[in-house]
Amino acid sequence: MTVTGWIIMILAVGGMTALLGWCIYKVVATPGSTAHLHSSADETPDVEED
Amino acid sequence: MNQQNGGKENWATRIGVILAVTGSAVGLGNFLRFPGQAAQYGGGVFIIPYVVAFLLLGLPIAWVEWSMGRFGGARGYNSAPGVFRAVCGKPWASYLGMLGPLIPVVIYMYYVFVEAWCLGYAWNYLSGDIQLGDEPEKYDSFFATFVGSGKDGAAFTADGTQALVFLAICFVLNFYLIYRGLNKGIEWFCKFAMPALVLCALVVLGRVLTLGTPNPDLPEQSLVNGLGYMWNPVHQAEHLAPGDKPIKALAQRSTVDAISGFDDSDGYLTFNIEDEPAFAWALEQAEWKPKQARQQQSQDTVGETGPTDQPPLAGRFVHDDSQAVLQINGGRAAFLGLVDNGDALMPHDVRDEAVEMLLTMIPVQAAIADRDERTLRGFDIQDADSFHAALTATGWKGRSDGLEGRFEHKKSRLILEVGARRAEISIPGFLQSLANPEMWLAAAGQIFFSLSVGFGIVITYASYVRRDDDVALSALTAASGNGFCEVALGGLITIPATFVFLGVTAVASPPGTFGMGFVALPSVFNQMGILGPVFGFLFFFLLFLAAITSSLSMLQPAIALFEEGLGIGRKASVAMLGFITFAGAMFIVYFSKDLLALDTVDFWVGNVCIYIMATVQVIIFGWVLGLKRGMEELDRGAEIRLPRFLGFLIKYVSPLYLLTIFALWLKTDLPTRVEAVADVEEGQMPVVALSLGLIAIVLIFFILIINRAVGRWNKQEAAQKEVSP
Repeated sequence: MTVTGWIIMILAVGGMTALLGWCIYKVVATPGSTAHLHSSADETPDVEED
Repeated sequence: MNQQNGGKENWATRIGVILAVTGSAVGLGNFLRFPGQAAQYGGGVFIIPYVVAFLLLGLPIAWVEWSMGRFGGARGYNSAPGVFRAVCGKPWASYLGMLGPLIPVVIYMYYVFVEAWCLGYAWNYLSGDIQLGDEPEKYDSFFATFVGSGKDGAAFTADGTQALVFLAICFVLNFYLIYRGLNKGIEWFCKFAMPALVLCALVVLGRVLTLGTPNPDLPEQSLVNGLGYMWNPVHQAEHLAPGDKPIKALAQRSTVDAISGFDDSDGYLTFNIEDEPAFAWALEQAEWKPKQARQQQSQDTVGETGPTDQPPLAGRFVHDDSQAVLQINGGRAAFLGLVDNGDALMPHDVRDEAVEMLLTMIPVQAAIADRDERTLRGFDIQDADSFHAALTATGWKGRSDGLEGRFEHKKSRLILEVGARRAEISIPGFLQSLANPEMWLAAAGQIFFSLSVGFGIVITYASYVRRDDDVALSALTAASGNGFCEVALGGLITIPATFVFLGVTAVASPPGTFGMGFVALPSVFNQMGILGPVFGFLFFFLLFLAAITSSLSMLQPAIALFEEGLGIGRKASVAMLGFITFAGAMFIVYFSKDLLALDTVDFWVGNVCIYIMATVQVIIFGWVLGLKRGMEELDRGAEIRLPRFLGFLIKYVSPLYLLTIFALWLKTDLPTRVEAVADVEEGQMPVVALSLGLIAIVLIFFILIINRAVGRWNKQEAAQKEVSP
């Protein structure tokens, strides 16, 4: 494996992992994000209504 | 509008919707297609057009779908026809969304069958039925029997029972989950399935990254070289197995003579020959003769030099009744024609074309001005290190001592001169490889198919997001989750593992997504020792999870249309969709010979239709809804600030990019596909035409449903206006 190969692999794998990590951090850590959460009991699918 | 459920259905959690969308995107393509594409186009260099396509095409379209879906959902619509009506503000716009339910439903018809293969393989690893030894042919045969690719209707014979059982299990599981509803079915399942998928992948990845060099007799088949094959910007000669003596270069400009340019007195081409007469025929068609044989031939009677007099060859040669394929370390030639006891029945012009194909597919292109000088012998090397390095880079492993003449190595060019004779070999370097338009097309296609944009699924999923909830970050998270599975997991598992155990020949010309996944990889797991079956099970189970989270998402768009368009409940919608998809799946399963029905439907719906759908979506967003309103919609509730030039990308770059790759892609594939419609073997069913008929029937069905829905929505809107004038 060449040096360029190592660099490309590290940048590609590291970059995609870092992007996902940052996104997950933002989703979890954003203040007020929990406001979007609610119990599934609040949203009963109509399957039970039928 | 969704009056039936009163618009009550919503995602329960933020994480839930992200996992559901990511699960929809992550599929077999992440673990099988992406690595195969990257390896085919030279390894690491592929990642550049891949990233560009991700940024210019994938992400913008994903944001468009999420914001349009939420826009429609806030107005009571969950299906693509309804969302398009809401966005355009015109009843007729619903018909533009006809592909929204069609694409996922038709894809589901064959995707659930592939999902059944994954589950079946995982089960066979648990039961030990797939430990078939070291012969690759047995894995090929197992796959052919399992999926019934030998003949139509094979799945309905005793041999095909297993596939049908797993198909039934998958079908029931999918419909049970979809019947449970959005958050108690899809979301609940994805919350478990996606982490489990990543966990399985990480375990398999851990094993792959600790493979080292399992066979000391084959030191070049190491993990590092396997990673190198996947990630090096261009393929290097170090990946060749010892004993392989490839002749990559020194070809004539004339295409036919190019093959005879493969010289070698030291016996360079080494092939495993299973069918010598046919192989000799193929070589003869290629006008290839080793130097020794040529010399011998000049002395002996013409024709007496048989294939056994030739030096051993390395590579792969296969043939059937209508085609012979000669493969030389990544170079590949398909000789279309009949093989009849070694007699050539191939027209001359076809042969020339086939030979040209071999030449163009060999990674290192070469040309030599003088046709009589086809060897490197006789050169005086001034720069031995560069010369040997260049030779190694071209794959040359023959003797290079005693060479005379002039050698010049300029980056990607190798120039050899003896007197008036001059040989010039071009070695595709990083920039040269990057300039390959086919690779850019392939990368764009990979991003497009992988992110599941244009399927009509994300629009429906996003319609269940609340009006002020974020979509910008959610879309980015889902896209990056898909990218992570593709690049960080798929990119480190499939090719390196296959390379380590099966060598360069197995990865140089990947045998397609199914061949790689269901034939090559089982052979790899077999060689992993006592824990091989465990890793085999984990790998196919993760493929199954990837498949079911995708197939599940394919059902919701049609369910949404039935519910809001016909005003029927979930139970009736699920029953109706179950009948339609079951009938379609049986069609695909029955016409299993060479997987022709599956392949046809995949091309026309899984490729052509999603390009059209994505283009329609981007145009509606950028040009009908308008950039100002569109960006405002995208920014509503956004937890990340999107760059302002995104609007420009969506309005101009993405449609152009889409239309360009679509046109190029059609130019490449369409003629063959159109010809295939009329290409029916005598006594066989016109499977391609029937498959197109199936698509047409489903399309007409959805147009009728949309027609009914439009009438219903018009009445509802009129009633609302009367109530609140």
